[in-house]
Amino acid sequence: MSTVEIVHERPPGVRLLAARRSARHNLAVSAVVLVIAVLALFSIARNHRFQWGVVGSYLTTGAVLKGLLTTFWLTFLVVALGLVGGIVVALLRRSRVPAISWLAWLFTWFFRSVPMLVQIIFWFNFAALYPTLSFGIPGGPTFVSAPTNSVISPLVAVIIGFALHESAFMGEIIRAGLNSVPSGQWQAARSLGMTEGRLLRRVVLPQVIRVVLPTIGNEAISVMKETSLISVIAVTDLLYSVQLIYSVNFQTIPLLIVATIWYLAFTIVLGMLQWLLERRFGRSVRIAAPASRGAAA
Amino acid sequence: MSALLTFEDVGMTYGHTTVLEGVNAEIAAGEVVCVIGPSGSGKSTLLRCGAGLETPSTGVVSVAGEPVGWTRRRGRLVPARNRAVARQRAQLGVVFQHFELFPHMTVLENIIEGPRGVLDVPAEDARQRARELLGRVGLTAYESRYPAQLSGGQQQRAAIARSLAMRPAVMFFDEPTSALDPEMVGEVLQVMRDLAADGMTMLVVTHEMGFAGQIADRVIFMDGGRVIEQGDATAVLTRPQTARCAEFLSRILERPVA
Ligand SMILES: Nc1ncnc2c1ncn2[C@@H]1O[C@H](COP(=O)(O)OP(=O)(O)OP(=O)(O)O)[C@@H](O)[C@H]1O
Ligand SMILES: [Mg+2]
Repeated sequence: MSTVEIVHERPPGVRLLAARRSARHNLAVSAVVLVIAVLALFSIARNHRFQWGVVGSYLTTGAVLKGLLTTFWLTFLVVALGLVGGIVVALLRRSRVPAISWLAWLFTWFFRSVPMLVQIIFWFNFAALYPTLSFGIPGGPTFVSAPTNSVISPLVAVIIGFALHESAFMGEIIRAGLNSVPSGQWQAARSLGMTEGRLLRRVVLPQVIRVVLPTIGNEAISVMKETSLISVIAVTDLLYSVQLIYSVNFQTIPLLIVATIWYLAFTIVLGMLQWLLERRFGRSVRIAAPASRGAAA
Repeated sequence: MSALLTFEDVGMTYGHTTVLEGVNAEIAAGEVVCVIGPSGSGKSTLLRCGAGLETPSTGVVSVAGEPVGWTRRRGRLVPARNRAVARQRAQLGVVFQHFELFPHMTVLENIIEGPRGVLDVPAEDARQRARELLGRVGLTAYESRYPAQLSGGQQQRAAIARSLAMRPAVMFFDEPTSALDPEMVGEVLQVMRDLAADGMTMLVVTHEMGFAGQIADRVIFMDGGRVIEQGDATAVLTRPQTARCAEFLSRILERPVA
């Protein structure tokens, strides 16, 4: 605190000197960090126990790439379903009917609390728990009935489980986003005669998306990693594909490095996607920033 | 002159707090009525009820004889369906203290949003009308700006244009200048004066007593959720009949005029 005051009292020449000194200081720190990073990289690259040759030979094999593809679509599907489900859950949570908002709370509580691994096994065995699906009045007549396995395959059941789990998390993110839109915006939209659906689509959700995008980007990375749990039902995603390979050749570490490289690359793709979307939805604010700075000057 | 907007025994209660009680008022077509009163006296609540943004707990607001938020079925009033409420709101314009332009849309997009999406006006007609209105509020050069790129006064004028684009029967203003820097108050008040001169029916909540004196036909003074005094603007502002109104006016006029 006191140094700040002293700087203000210095003549301009001294402040310039101080700025130059701090620039030199930043450069020195950067150099040290860079040296440490290069040394670490060297140590990793030259450690023959990592078996870089094996990593290289498996990085683009068919089985690994197929696993990567599975992880890829599974992640996007779960994020997309979770986003839609999350919007629904968040809106139900705001309902003025107590039973509905309570039900939404119950849903969130349940699906956030049960470990995904437990859910995967539960949903995978859904057909064993409920051998037939029927539509009718409990204790009364049944209108339609079919064996569960013919309606949903175990994989589809597990994806539904993932989507429900993700909806609960996304619901909380969207709820925070909805609360961030000032009540005046809702009132302004209503005063133009918009119905609630139109108001959400045109006025509220575009503003919600802008504020929740960074959090959703984070969530997408979590989903990417969580999809690897699907190996317990023998779906060959990225992680399970390499596990199958190293269970045969015992090259555990190099193959886990193969998976890691692809997870890192996937995260970059997700990051770029997030950046593009943030640009798209933040346009009005970004364009405005320089102008308002100019006006203030 | 018959009343265009009527408040009949309007009351509003949130939980256990009564915010409005037994409000009766009539506003004729083309009339400008200013609502004044201390903070928390229920002015904004009254305005939201009038504009159909909230349904009063008791009593009825009607526009041109139609109860707002209700429909007549077999001689009885029942709550209107969402769509019907939306249709009623579409003909009641509201201008807010904090403008509430949609930040992700340009000025032009803000103005055509209602006509396009709610009234189904063809795009070209909506744009033409929007440009006409932008001319009226002096913002012709700003149609492709985003709200954050405008000054407060410009945003408020754009918000007025957005409301006018719906061709409202009544315009409601809730302290339209109290969030503005002093040098921008004048430009917004001028737009409102022009509107009044064009014969728009207006209900204006304001703390600008000088402006109320110039523009208002009548003034309503509220305190504690009730209408304490209402009548001819000059009469209420210069010769208040109640002690509470006199005290409020002297308190407000004592403050240095901006
Ligand atoms: N949704 C609500 N729930 C509970 N209380 C409310 C609500 N809206 C308003 N109130 C209360 O009603 C009273 C009147 O509020 P209102 O905003 O109508 O006053 P106002 O006259 O417009 O005041 P100001 O001049 O400060 O804008 C206040 O005490 C406020 O706290
Ligand atoms: Mg108010």
